[in-house]
Amino acid sequence: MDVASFLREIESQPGYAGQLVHVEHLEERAGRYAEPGRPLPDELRHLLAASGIQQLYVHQAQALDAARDGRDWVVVSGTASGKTLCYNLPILEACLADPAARALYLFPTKALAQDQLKGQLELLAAAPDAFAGVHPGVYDGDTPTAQRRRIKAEANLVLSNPDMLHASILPYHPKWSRFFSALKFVVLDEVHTYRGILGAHVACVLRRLSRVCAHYGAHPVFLAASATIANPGELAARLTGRPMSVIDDDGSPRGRKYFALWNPAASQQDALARGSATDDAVWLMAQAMQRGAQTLTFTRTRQATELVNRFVQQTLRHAGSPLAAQMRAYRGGYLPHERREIEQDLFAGRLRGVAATNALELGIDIGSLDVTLLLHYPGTIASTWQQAGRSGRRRGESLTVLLAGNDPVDQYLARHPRYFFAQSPEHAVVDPENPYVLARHLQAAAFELPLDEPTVSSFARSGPAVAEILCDAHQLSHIDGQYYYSGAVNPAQQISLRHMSDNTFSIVLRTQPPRAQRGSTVVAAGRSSQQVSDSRAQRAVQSGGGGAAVHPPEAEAAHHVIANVDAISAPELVYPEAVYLHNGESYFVRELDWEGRVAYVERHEMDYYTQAVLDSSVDITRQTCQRRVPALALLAYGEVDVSWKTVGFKKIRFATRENVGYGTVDLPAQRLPTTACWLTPDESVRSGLRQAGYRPSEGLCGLRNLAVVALPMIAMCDSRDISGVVDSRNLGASSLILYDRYPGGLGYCEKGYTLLENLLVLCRQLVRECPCDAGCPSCIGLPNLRPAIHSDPDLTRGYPVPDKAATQLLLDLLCAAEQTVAAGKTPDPC
Amino acid sequence: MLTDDVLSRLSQLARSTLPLAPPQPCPAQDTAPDAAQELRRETPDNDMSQLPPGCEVDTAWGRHWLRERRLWDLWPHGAEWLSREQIRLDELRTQAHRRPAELQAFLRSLPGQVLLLDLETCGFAGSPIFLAGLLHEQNGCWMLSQLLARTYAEEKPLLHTLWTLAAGKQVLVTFNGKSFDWPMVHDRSTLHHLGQDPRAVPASESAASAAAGCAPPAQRGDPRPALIHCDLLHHARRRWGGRLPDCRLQTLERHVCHRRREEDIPGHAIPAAYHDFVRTGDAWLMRSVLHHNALDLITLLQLAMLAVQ
Repeated sequence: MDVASFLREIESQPGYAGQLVHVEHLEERAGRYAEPGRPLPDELRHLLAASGIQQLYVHQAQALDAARDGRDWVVVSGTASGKTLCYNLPILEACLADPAARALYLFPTKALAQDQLKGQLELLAAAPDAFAGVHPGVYDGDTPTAQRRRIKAEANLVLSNPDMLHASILPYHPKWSRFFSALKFVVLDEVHTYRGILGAHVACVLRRLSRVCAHYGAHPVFLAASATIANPGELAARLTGRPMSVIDDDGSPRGRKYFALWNPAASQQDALARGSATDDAVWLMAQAMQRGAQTLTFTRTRQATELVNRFVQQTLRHAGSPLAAQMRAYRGGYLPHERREIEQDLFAGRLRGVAATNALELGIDIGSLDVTLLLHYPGTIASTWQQAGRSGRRRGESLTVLLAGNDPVDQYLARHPRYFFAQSPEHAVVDPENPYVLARHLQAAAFELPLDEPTVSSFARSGPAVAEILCDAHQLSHIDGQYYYSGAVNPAQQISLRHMSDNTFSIVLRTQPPRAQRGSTVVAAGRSSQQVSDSRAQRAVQSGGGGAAVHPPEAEAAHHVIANVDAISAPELVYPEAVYLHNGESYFVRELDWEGRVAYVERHEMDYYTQAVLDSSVDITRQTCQRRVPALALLAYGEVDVSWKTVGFKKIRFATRENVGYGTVDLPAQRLPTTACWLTPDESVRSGLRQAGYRPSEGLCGLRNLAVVALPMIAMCDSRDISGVVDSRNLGASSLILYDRYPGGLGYCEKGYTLLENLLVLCRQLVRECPCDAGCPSCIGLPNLRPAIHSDPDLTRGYPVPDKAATQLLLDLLCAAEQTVAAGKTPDPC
Repeated sequence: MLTDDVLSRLSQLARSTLPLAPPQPCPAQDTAPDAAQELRRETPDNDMSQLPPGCEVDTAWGRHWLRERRLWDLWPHGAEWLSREQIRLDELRTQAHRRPAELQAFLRSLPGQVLLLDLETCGFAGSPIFLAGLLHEQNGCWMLSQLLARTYAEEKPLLHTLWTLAAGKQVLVTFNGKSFDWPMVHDRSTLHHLGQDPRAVPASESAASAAAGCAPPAQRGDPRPALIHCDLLHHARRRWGGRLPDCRLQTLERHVCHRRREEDIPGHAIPAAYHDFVRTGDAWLMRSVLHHNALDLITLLQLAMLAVQ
């Protein structure tokens, strides 16, 4: 694709209003190759040659050498850089040398594991004789029971995920004794996703893994792969508890890349608002597809994915193009076989365009595309580059366009393109010392094998202290220098690594039983469900990928599952009377069976879609302790209930985007009981702000946004692990409440309570040092942390940027009195 | 003549389909004699917080506790009952009676080659074993041996003794042991590095030969003996399942063995009792656990004898 001429064409369109605010050129680079220290065995060379690989890239050779030496490493490179071979090569080499050798692969998602399995089987198929003894197998929650025993006994390459390792493998390690005793390598893919709370859990799980390996006499080498973040080596070392070499000299070739920032034109009606970024994205995508470019549009919400898909298909049909049939949507909630189908079609070039959520951001191999459109800023620099990395041919040019929405962050980026390109990707933070996480995993570790004192210390510095607490609570017994588990239940079953509901809702399509014979075409609105499910079933058999094929039930064919949705999103996506969009088609939700975890839908062509209206609140339930911040504010710590529920919905016409109605919904609220700290400035501070012409709540909003960035630096968590609100409902006066986004809390906001003075000083520094005038993403202008899961961002008014001056004044007032108080006094934690 | 293969498949069928006739009502009257007459209770010691009399066993892996008694000291009626059964069994041995291979092996191996086993553990898979109760014949005398781990560290020596006692036997008898007790013994032994080299040949060979009813070959490099496993749960289901509300051990004890328990510690309270004992050293609940275990073993023996007929 000739990107330069495409961009010129866009600029020369009538009505072009300068939306392309910036185009960055990323130079092409040639591939750099190297030979490993010792040549590859012949069988491996033939295998690679059969896949078209004659030489290794620099980083692949380095990785091979390091693995052969037994050095743990983390390889850092972009998408489509041959990362997979970095770890598969040393492992296959080891299997050739020793048929009993074993390797464990850990992926963050089941979908990735399936994709990797497919890749491995394809690679090995080229030399079935030489590698006859190599059997990869996926062992995760979807693995049928009948296969599990065989995989334990026979699979040399076991592909799994940290959750499965934690709950189903480690606690029953004697059944895996043969596997562990022969374990040579542990692969950690997409390791940058293990940050924050999840990272803390995974760090503990990996320590338990190392211990169990050592028990069976194994000392595997850890091979990690990461996307580009600021601190890959540090992250990997924190996770594994051992030093890791960093291999980041990416030798893979890259064609010339254009990265454009696009700001939609100012809207006619409203001088302040801009036109819809979605419309622009739809137009750009249709243009690109018609020019022959394979295009992927990333959106921030599932519903936006469906809308983009629908609108692009419409646009293409209007233009008389057959490409409408080569456009699909892709998101979480689609059944596994459907997702496999789309991935394969994209890879094979059968699809010209896909609209997707960040479900497609992780490394599933879809080949390299010509164009990626990012509809709104993905939220982090690292994610932006990951998504942008999906376009990038080895040779030839590729294009990424980031389209800014009405959101203040997006607008800031559009106005300050240099800011974006100058930013390095975020630090990934993980704290293996978190005592709440550690306590749970020490129990699990003791259940697996008795812990001795040096081992407890090796988990974390705070290990021995946590162990003593557990002993006092009779969860552990300390006998003759060993800690044994003496609690009532299997501790691993009490821990979920992710704060995601395990319950999924099924979305079930109700159809009338076909009057015609089974197997013949049934006429219904759009594609019949019978036809759809038959063709899906066929493809599932052909693809042979993971996930069950959808077979329509026998005689009645009245119900079948078309998708899933997690229990947290269900009340926002499939409430009664909602319009559910799936792959370009609309369905009407008849009923939501809360207890049974099912949503019943019927196929209807609707001319409007719906958007849930949420009511959310934070209620303080119990105050554990409180103190005064140098006589200017009241600070307290305790328990809160965060709740949110869908109370109604708006009906929005597809064609015009106008609001054509409203409905009410009565569903149970979702609750997150957790811990929080809250700050209520005194009247003296509030009147100080009012006298200067500011509203106290504005200052607090700005402080909230700052604190959400600053507290993770103090508490060693990820900014997604905490959240905050400003309200006066709870305490009668404007207050800032910061809470942990994890049931029961994990001590992050507790740290905020203990170290509030440090937090305030840090916030003040951040806002003072920021060179912006009125606020920016780096200081007080962050997006709302929990947008409704599926709303159309174009329609939400951007949250107003808090007044920077108000925030600064508030901080000055709160920090000023500190200087008169004796410094260095840390308050007693309660 | 029906082959073994066909017979076992027919018995599977019998187990899975409901009986055509309504099941015979359970005995309306509970004719179980008072448990006190059947089993001699422990003479109360002066100190109920101590374990009942026993001894320490020294092994290469450390020590554990052992309580060993002659079965007839605990179950005086048993001697009489067994001698009656023995006569019947002697007759059966000479007959060409069709019975499942495992029961045949049991009959053949009585009394000296048979080991009855019932475990008490801290929970399900993954949890430690703390009590192994065994019934076996030694020098013409039935012995009830209870191996106890007084702390979690004594599990390994306990298992070592268990394997030593199993070494001279041909047939293992359990209740639900194929699903629970025996895999647990194997897994815990693997965890403690007792016996098997994990890199040995896969167990599919031994599974095949067990199905044929003969002792599976010991795995290469595995010094642990391999036994023919007779799991009475399956045989009891086939034999008595239709007539009884369920096939739990205590249900069978009540209706088939005609014995009833009083004040028995409930199964779900046992792990907590053990954890408390380890922590405090106070053994008063452990006495109940040991007694419960002994009762289970006696029932196991009776059921085995009855099932074989």
